[in-house]
Amino acid sequence: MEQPLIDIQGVGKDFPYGSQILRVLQGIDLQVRPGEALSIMGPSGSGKSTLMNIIGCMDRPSRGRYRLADQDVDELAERDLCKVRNRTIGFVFQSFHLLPRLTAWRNVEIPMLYGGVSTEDRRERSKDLLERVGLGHRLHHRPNELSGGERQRVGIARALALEPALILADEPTGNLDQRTGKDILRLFSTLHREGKTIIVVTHDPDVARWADRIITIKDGRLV
Amino acid sequence: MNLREFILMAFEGLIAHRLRSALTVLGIVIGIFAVVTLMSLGDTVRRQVSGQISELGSGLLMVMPGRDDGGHGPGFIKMNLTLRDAERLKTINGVETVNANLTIPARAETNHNSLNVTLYGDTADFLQVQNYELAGGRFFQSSEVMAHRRVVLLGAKTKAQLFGNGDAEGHTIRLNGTTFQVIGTLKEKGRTLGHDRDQVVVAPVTVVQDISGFRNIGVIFVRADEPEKVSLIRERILSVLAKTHPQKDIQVFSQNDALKVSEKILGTLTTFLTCIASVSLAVGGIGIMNIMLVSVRERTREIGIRRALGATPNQVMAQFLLEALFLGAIGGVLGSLFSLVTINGLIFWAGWKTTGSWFSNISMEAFLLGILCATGIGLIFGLYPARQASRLDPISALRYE
Repeated sequence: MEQPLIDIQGVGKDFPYGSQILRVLQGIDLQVRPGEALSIMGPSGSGKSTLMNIIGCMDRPSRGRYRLADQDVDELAERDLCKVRNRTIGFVFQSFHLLPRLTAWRNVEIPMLYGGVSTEDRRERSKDLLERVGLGHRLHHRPNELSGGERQRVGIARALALEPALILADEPTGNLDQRTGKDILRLFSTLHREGKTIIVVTHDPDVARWADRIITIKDGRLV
Repeated sequence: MNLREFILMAFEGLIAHRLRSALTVLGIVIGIFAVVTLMSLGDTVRRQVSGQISELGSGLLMVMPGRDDGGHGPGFIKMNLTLRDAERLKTINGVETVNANLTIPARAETNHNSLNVTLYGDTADFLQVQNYELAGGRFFQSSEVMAHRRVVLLGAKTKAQLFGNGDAEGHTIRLNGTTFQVIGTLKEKGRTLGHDRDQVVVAPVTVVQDISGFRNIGVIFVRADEPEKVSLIRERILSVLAKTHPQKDIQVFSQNDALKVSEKILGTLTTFLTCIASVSLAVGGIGIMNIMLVSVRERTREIGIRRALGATPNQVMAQFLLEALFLGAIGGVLGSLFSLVTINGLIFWAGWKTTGSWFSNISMEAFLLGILCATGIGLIFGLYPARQASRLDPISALRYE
């Protein structure tokens, strides 16, 4: 059998809450194959953001094992986690999280900056990526000169910068109107067809339906 | 990620908040300007004074009131030297010239003009001892000093103010109401520490005693015929004057002593003023820290984004540290340059002789130290905010509004 890209076994996460401990995630088992398109659904407060942070290596589980791309993430030092976020994961955020002072072109360059790509390659690749998401004419625009849909496209171009194994999107259509949201999902479908592994985290069943597989999380457990 | 990219990123951060960065830099500019200017000025003044003291020649001794143990006790120093003391010193073997000097401020008037001047009452060897040169006429002789002759010589500026381009010799002027005959004029001399050495009048010391009411004199200049004899003659002066000054209430300075004392005083003064100026530098540093803390807080989300995209804590720290460092360095360069211009302006205004090049007037140490110091301050005061930035939790930083 093919090695899963994501292999989560018995993962739990606790947060201190006053003098008590809040069990936000419990006994999560999840495998994601390379090339899969997955939706993680759940109402707010269900623990899906925490799960996403763990998958995205922004946070560490309190219990259980997490392997990402054949690496035991739990055993990695902070420095290496940064590298994993940089190389292996491409984040797409609900509120885009572009740097407001930088042009679309420079925004897409950021992961490559930290990934040690040379200036020339960076320029070239950033431009290619923006053209690929249909923003070849918006290279020199700053985020506030772009529409919501365009901003999210810049965000996706940025997520693709270092050819990550996994695209992790947190409510990618949450701040967009329905039509633009559909466009973004279509873009994800294109990427999926090209072989990308994509995880979309959402509370919206219409968005979740986009994926091959939907998993639902409720009160910190998968159902 | 190489240094060049970090530098670019830091500049982007600074340029994004131009006004704020400029004001922060201003704090450092003021601090560095104050420190570098005072250090250099102290240096320049010290060199000027030392130069002027050296000009007096190494064979010169000054006899002044005071205690001879070198101490400077509290209270007034009484003028206690007399013309008779000066006469006695002439008998010492190895003494070339003896000048008795009594200097007072005076009002010099002609029928048309008037001027406040420094009135030197002195004896026949004045020109030689004080390094003045005659521009015209003659100097007074010892016999005229003894005879209380009311004759004067005018400094270059005094002459110009009172007589313009015309001749002064043979005319009369009034000094504090007493009429004197002008017998000569002096060549231009320049300023010393703000004291205009051309706005002067020289008259026999006896006459200055007459018009001022002082019965004593201020200082006696003794020149040894050979510079090596200075310490020997110093001893002889003390033993000769011991008869008239049994309380040992006089002191003898050689040119070397004067050089040492002035170096010490000016050195202490410069250090003291520089210390005070450093306070403003510290304030500038705190300004950097303050603005960097604000900046880190304001850009919390940016930090979160960068961390999510793969920046390590060290890379975040480097970004903010470099911004602080540049604030300091830019302030240091501007402050030092500003100081360079100011010092040269001051020197030009004061009319001091300089060696020519602009940089020779500023203490090069102070200049480089200023820039280095400002950069260091940026680094030190930027350390804490940069560390704060690097320690932010990426998840909460991303959520920060």
